[in-house]
Amino acid sequence: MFAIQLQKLMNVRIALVVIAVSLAIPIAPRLATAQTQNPVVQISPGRAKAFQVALQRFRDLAQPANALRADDLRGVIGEALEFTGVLLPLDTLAYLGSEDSAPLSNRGRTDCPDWAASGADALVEGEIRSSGGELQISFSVWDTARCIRLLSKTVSRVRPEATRLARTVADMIVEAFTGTRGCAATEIAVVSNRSGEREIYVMDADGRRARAATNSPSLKSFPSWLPDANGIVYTSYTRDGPAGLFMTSRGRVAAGRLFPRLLPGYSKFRGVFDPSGNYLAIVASIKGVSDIYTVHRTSGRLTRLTRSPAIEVGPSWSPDGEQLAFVSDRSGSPQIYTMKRDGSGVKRITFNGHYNTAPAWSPDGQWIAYETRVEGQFDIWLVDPSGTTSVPLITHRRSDESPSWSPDGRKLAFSSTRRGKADIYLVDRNGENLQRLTRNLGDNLSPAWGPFPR
Amino acid sequence: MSVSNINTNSEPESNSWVNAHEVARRRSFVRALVISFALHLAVGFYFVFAPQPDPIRTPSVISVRMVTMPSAPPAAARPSKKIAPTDAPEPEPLPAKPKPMPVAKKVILPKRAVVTKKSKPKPKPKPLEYDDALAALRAELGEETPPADVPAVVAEVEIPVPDDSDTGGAQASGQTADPKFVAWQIATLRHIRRILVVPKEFMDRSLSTDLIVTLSVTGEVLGYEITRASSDPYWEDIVRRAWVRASPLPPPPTAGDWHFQFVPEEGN
Repeated sequence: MFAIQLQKLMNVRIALVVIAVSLAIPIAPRLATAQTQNPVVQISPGRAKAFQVALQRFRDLAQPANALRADDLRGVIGEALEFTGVLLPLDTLAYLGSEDSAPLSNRGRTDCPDWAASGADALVEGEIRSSGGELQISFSVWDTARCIRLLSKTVSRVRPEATRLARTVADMIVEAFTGTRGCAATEIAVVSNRSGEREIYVMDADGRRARAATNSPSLKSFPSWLPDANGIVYTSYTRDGPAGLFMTSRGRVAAGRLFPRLLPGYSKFRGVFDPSGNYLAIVASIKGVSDIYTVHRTSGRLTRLTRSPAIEVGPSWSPDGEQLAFVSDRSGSPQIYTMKRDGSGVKRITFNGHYNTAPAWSPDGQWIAYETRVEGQFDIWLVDPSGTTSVPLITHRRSDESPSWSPDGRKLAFSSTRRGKADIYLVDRNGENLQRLTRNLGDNLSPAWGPFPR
Repeated sequence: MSVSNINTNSEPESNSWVNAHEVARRRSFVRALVISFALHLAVGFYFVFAPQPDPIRTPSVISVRMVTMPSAPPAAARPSKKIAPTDAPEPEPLPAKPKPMPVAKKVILPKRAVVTKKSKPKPKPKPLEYDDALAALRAELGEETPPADVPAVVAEVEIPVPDDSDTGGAQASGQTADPKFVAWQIATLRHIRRILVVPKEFMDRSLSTDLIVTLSVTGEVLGYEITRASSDPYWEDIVRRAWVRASPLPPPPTAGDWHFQFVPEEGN
């Protein structure tokens, strides 16, 4: 009985399939023609443009009252947006809507067409409040074309850091439009002898507010940030002993010498934390041969990664922490290599030039910046991690050295002697928009761009 | 051969069960065959007698070259070292002009042009003169007719021979396409570029978004649908933003669905 029903069902199915196929025959080509009857019209932008953003004056509800606070914060946000360069503040004279923020609400807007007609791609409104010793900014970012709220956020910081708070707001606006946070609220560590000794200084990403992070009678170099931005590892050279690794911190992590009992009597330098912050890649020089090791941050367990008799220095982690770029002279001259984090899979990736050093892996993992010596001066080039493509980024008759990527990957910091003394410069990743950050402050070397603040 | 035999397990009874249902199966098969035949017959009638839309005669690949002519908008008059593509076939002679015109830019090369469906041969429409197309374009853009001594931009289109050409392969390379379409394409590109905002970090990345846009005869965007998204949702947002602001486009040659492809490439 069951078998008969099954057979009938099969017959019905066969009939249905035949019907479906028969119906599909005339429909399919019609559907295809609907999609493809006309030729493809290809649209390209021709040239890049920045988004225009209307920054309303935030409602200031903070105490004590300050008539200039809202304007000041708007100015800082505007400057920070200009620094990153993705969104540019629209002139307030072009505003067809109110210059002042209305109370924030979850309701939609009705004035998007006005803002779009003003030329604004984005609209930012907000409120400033105070809570204890902190300043709090609540803000919304609108896409005026589609009239949708892209972001609604509240951020806070202690009052003395109001500038940094405003820059954080700017970076989040950039993220709302591009998916990648801006870098205006980040910091750059540099080695400078502006006070006589070579100390570590920390300055804002735009070069402002430089302050000393170390102060001791020794020669410091190779600063490198903790992934949470709370500390900087550096190498200190003293007259009475080998070079060692030290930490300077904002107070949340212990400062002082790192791994004092590790490889006693030998120089240890150039420490770089992996993205997790659990391992430090270091260079240790034993009997005149430099090799790369990793050290576990808490246990101090040491793992040797390179074992060749050549000199191996300059480790730089890939953004996923699975690989390291480094410099080795195993081929007879310093070249850039990559290897896995356990030391296996060593691969040479630079073949142009006879002297390539200082690799720096980009945050998106696509490029490794490095310096290459040409006629006694250094230029900065980019090579992809497979070593197949190598392109010049900065070339000048004077030396450009020590590239360091911004955490958003949009810019690089480097030191250059193009104006005589070594100064810190920024450049966009496409080689445009050169900015000088330091001037007339002694020599400034080895920039290390810090991570996003947490 | 009763149905009750089904429950027995002996070999002959099993065979008789198969034979009984073989008849039923054949009947069903014949029924399906008849239905299928009838449907195919209907399909045949449909193709023969149903009215077919007039497809736009389009080439498999279109390349557009911008040629400087008297009176041009300043944006298009950028001098360039990479003037005429060396591998391109010789263009058709332009209508008589005061001076020979140097080629300024290679503009649009649709990556995936579409071969139109085969249809009955139709009388070839008389192609518009370039001056007519230019005048129509200027009228759409609200531009005045320029004086003769100012360089301008017109489009010259070269069409490779389509595989299944209506002309039976008689078309030679370098043939001129429908200038009305080309003029619309250029005007549309200009129009969208005015409102398309692409930050430099998106430029020259391997992103591409395809969408079908439904246009009215006056160029109103009646709707759009992204048919192939890129790997970056923020790039899609850029494309969507442009479409919200794009309406109305210059009036298209025909109302209906148009396939657009957005790519963040530099240059013209």
